[in-house]
Amino acid sequence: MLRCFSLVVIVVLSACTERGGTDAVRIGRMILDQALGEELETYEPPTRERLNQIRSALLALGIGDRDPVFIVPTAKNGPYLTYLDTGRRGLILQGGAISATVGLGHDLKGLKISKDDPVVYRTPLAEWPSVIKRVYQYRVRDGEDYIIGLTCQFSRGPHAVIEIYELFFETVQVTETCANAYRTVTNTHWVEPDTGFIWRSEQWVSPKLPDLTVEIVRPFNQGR
Amino acid sequence: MSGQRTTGIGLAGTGRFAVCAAFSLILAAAPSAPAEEPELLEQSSPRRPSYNNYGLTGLIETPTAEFQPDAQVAFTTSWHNGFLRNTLAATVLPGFEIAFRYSALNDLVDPATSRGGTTLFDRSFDIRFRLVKEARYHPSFAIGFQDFLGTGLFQGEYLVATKSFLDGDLKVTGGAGWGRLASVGAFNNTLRNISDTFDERDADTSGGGRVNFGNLFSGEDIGLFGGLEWQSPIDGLSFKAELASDDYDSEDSLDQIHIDIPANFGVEYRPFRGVELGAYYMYGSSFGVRLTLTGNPFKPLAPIETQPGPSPLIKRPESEVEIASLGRVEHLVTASSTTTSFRATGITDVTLRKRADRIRWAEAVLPSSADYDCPTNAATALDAEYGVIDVVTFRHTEGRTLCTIALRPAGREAIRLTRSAAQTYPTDWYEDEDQRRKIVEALAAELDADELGLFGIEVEPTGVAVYIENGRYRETPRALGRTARALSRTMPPSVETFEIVPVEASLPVVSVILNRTDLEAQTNRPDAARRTSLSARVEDALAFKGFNDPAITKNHPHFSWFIGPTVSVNTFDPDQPLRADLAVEGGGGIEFLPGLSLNAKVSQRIVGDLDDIETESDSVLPHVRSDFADYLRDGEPALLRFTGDYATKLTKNVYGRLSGGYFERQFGGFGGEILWKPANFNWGLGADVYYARQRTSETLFSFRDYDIVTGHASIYWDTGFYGLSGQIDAGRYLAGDYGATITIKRRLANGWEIGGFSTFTDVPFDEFGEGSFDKGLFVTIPFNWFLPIETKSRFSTVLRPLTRDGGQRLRTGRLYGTIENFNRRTLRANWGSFWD
Repeated sequence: MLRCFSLVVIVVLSACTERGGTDAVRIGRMILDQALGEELETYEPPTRERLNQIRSALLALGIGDRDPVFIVPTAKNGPYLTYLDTGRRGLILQGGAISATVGLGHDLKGLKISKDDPVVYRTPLAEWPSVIKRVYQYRVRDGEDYIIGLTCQFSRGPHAVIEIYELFFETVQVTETCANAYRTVTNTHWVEPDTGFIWRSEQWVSPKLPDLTVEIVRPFNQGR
Repeated sequence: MSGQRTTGIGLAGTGRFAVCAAFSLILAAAPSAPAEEPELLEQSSPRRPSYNNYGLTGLIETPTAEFQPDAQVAFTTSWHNGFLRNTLAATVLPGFEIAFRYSALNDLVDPATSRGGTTLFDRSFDIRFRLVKEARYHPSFAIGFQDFLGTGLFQGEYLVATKSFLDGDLKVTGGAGWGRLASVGAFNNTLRNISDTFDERDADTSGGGRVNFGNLFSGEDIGLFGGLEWQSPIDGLSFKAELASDDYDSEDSLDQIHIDIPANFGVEYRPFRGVELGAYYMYGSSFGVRLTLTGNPFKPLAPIETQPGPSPLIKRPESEVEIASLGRVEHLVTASSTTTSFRATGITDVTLRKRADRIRWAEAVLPSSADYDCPTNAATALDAEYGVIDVVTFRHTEGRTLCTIALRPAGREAIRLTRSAAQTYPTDWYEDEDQRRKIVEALAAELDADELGLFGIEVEPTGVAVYIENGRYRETPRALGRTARALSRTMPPSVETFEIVPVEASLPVVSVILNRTDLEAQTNRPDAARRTSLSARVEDALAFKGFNDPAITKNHPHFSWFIGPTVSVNTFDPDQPLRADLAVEGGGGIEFLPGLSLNAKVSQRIVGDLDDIETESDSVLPHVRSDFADYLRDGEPALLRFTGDYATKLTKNVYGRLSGGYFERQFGGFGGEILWKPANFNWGLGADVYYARQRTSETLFSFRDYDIVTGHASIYWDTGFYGLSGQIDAGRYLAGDYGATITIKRRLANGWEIGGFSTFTDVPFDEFGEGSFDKGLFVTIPFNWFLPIETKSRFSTVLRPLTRDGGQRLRTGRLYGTIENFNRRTLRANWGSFWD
């Protein structure tokens, strides 16, 4: 009888909960979600007309060879533009450089740049410096910070007309080779030569993430 | 005999212990932030040293002067000649290893009975320190104490040196041993020339579990040992050869082991990271094997976090005054050299102000016809012509401000301060109650998206204090950062000060005060977390003004519940050294008013064999713990807790709690606790007093006849040295004995904790029984170390060699455990997660 009473007490307390979000329940849900997986859908690129229905600046973000996702600006803090999707995943741009990633896993936390970094500060292509330095900042999960310092050299490639969702842009392909004693990584930018505006770029952001591809579907324009 | 031993401890023993303590201070320097990802550095760093049969860093049976990486933990099982050794080892500090070993020795002489032919289970504890780190021209040196705290069956001390050659592929070790390690290659113990206390070793190991300081470095002889380890070109494959200085004399005499040559040879292989396999030819007469599983808490098993990122911080719009004073602000334009004269850009006049704070601020006048683009080229031209200029403000001739450009970091900071001074946002929203309510609702929704609870809020025209409940984020700064972002997204622009108060168990623990303008200037920038850490203020949170404090918005009564699996382990029972139960625990609580609650927890075993324990207690003390097997056998389901509790904050740095009911599996009663712990102090004081009555083994509502008043005064100290903290509790224990418990633990930034405790009371060692005094190790592993999600759940376990009745405390939980992670030092240590 006493055993039953003690159990009833607990059952009553359990049933009366207003929030069942315990860690055990959350972990269970996560395992279930991962076991079931996501339904695979055939990807079809959206048309420009359809994209125009989104009345804001718009980026297409490709992670490795996965289909791109579209992200919109959600905040502007000084020179930093935060682009996120509805699941709070995305990146932060400083000029044309990815200065942080958000919710992608091994996120880039910050980026220190040279004052003459033409990827950050829009510079006509003719005035691009030959060498700049960048420091990428990371954090071990629940642990210490670490940094990766790279020296980057630019080399101009051919003129290229690129298409970004049915619009065409005359650009110059610029290859940026960044290296230190441990690694060499490559970024590629498609740059409008007169203005230095980067319409498309493939950028290394982390030793544990695939390269990110950023396409400017509609550029951010302050005040509009 | 007894008197002689006391003398030994008093003279030589104390001196030796002081030397040992001094060795512990010779540790490696604090690590600095690495300049590459840790995995890459690990690949390019020297190979991790290997373990030996004793589960510590070494060759086959002998130690080396190498040490495992900081925080490395390992489980080693080894076997040869009927000796099965299971060892749990940890590098608790750089250059400081400990090991707890449980050995099964077949057909050995039991030191307690002097009889052979039976299997003896033996517990032992080793420690070793690095004295000197290896350098180009000298080897590393280490000192070690084998079976330092145990039966003393394998007790020995050693000094050892190791030098690496061939880029670390060849390691040569040589050492000198005392005690058990002094039987081969022996020469006269020269320490005997210093004092005759080094002449003899006391062979009395009855009871075990105590340190015989008088034995350290004693004995007639010193033995020599040494060997080689060669890493072959095949990755993970190495070979070892050693001369061992333990001749297993007592075992040899029982025909247990035959020592033909005092040497061992072996091959080892690492098939995977964290796994070591070894096979050995031992003493010219037999074979042995070893398996080690090892890992490092600094390397989480699930490094990826798959949770959504934070919402961005929203910067406030510029105020009208700010726009009039600065115009649009551009930060740090490109510093590329210019060939243009500033006059060619249309500037008609320039005024350069050299301010008291050394900022050089230029004002340049443009004709009215100048367009609305900020002339960045003119700014760089001015900088080139005038020398160093930090800031330039451009105005049209009629006085209208066009823009301001910061050319240097100092200029950016000057602009930030100017903007802060110029901000005058309207506060009329505060007069509108409906608008205030909507603001609070919006904040609650933002916090809810991050699974943070809004416990209370105080809104003022220019500041807000928000009380949050964090049930999700293990690192408090992360919860603070998410809250700051939510505040920036919901609070009107005039709210400049964010005061965030984490609430734990309805206790407002600490107050973190952030300046909104600072946050806006710091977000997204490199080193943002460090900058915010420097600008944030950490203070004691004020106590609520009673149950009806107007700041409290959380609805009461409030219900909560939990359910989950739990594993209980029983170790070192001679009948079966390892037993375990898998059980499900569920519980719930009703908080009627802030801090006033009714709580319950029950447990039901699913599967296991803890109820098979048949050990009968032989304790001469009141059986306050040693009958634990009865409780496991009879209590199913068990009511583990059923208490009424009231916790409150008495002043801004004094906490109090009253509890009554069924505290734990074996005791109920009533009592209270008080704790003084300022947030900015690294130490605190506490005291508790309880009337406790022993429950029956059915673990329901009835009691036994035994009752007692128990209580302790406590001091807590966070040393700040490698996450080490200490605690001393002195008072009366459950069996009526008086004494003190010393607890030392190390807490890693990722939430791992490892530590140990010892309790010494007025119960004589002989009366206490086997083990001599209560002691144990404990470890805590956070779940998000191996799960790719954010969670505060963790696994904790205590490893006790024996459960006896002396030095046992009531298990009621401590207030300090609730608040210990909310002091300034811990918050700063984890501040890197603020912007995550």
